[in-house]
Amino acid sequence: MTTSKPSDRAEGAHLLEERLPEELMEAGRGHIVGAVVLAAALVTVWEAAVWSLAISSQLLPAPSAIARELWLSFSIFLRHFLVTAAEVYAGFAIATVVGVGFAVLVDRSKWLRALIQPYIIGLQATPKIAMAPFLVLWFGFGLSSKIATAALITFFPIFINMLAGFASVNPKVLELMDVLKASRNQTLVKVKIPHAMPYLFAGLEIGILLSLIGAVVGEFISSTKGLGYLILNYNFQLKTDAAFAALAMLIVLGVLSYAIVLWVKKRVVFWLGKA
Amino acid sequence: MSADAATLISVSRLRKEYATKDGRLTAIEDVSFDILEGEFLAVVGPSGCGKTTLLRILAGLAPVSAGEVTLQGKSVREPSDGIGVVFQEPVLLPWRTVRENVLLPVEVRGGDRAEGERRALDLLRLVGLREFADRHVWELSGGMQQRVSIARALVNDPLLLLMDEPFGALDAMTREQMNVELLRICEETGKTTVFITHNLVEAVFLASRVLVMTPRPSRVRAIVDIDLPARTWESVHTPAFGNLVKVLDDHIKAE
Repeated sequence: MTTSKPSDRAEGAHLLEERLPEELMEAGRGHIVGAVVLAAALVTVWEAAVWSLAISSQLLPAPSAIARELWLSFSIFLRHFLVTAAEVYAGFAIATVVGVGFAVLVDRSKWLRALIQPYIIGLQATPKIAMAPFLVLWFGFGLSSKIATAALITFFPIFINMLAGFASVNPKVLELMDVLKASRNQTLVKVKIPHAMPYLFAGLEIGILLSLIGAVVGEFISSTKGLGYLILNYNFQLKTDAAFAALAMLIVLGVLSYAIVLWVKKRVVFWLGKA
Repeated sequence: MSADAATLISVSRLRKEYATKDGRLTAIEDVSFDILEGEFLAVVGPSGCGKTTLLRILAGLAPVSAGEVTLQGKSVREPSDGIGVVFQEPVLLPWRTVRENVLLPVEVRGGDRAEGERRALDLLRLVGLREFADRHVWELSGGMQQRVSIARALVNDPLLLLMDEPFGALDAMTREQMNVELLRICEETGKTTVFITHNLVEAVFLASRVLVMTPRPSRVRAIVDIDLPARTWESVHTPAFGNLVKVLDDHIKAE
């Protein structure tokens, strides 16, 4: 699919309405400046509070202490960061493939849909994260149990959103495909899947954050690697500044991953909000 | 239209019932008519009279309860390659460009892509959107979008073009413009067209014959030949034009 940039569009485009996105971009930039200012203010207040109230660094370390910890042991934090990132992305990838695959299967078969409909609600209501100890039992203490935990809780929003996307196709479009004598596969590939993309990305946005939660909870239960392991371990040793440094790395991983999903979404679902 | 034009579509003793929770509802009671090759047949009638149901049956999208519809002698029971449909809404796919939307029927049928591309661009030129081929559909106005859907309906070169109130959602000015455009497109392509509308001026302006349906359960109230010399939008204000609109209106309001 080709998206034409505003610059290479033909002349006489009086019908085009391109103002709005730019205005939104402007507004977005304003928010970023505001957010940075607010963050700087909060860090300053935090730093000042810790020093002026003489709060123990074991209870609440100052931002400068956390930064120092990060600076001095960065290679350690980076190593564990990469472990957790691998768990998150592996779990996320598995959940996406399985979630989309299942949605296609369920959409295809009325029989299957009727069968699983009641379970979807039941499983939605189940706190999947509570399954994590069993996953450690079944998948062992290594990376695979963390990946499994991440995949399990990420699967549902992706699966459900994809199904919702399939179900929301305009019946008129399906009628058009009937008129064209399209096969079920043609309708799936040419209409249903592209139509469901915005829904899929809504699921992926939630899913990437759930994957992070899944991986960290998996690490909390039993592990020798990863940022979740570091947080728990430093906490036990009352090295709270180091634990906070690991938490900061976790936040970086979360924000970075979320931003990647949004970036991809903007490129894939380029028609969103315009049609 | 020559008197010896061949019959393209034959509708005989068509009946359509729906099962509702209050029993069976008869939408179409008994409808018979022929559509000749190359003619432009408008179908008018009060709302809820089963015009859209009739079009869906002609398109092979809905089964008949009794009677038969034949296209070139063959019974229409499912959608066929020979029929292109333009719906009330343009029903375009927003992730496809104008050109890619017009190519959809070519892709689905699996024909020669290069040949399809050529036809798509020719049709976009015909509907006046050649320079918009690589635009996204959301960049187009409602009237332009409906012209894309006309090009899409024509891209596989159907025997029959079915249009279900295609300009109903457009404002009066655009509608007028689209009527003039459609007349030109049909003259240039010579397509046999069935055009459903509740706008009598539109029907008289476009059609060679107008079929008037009764309220539900529908029958054919009348088939009126439209014999106007010149068809320009100015002719709408001539007495001859006004008389034909009046004739149709009287048929629709007759008890």
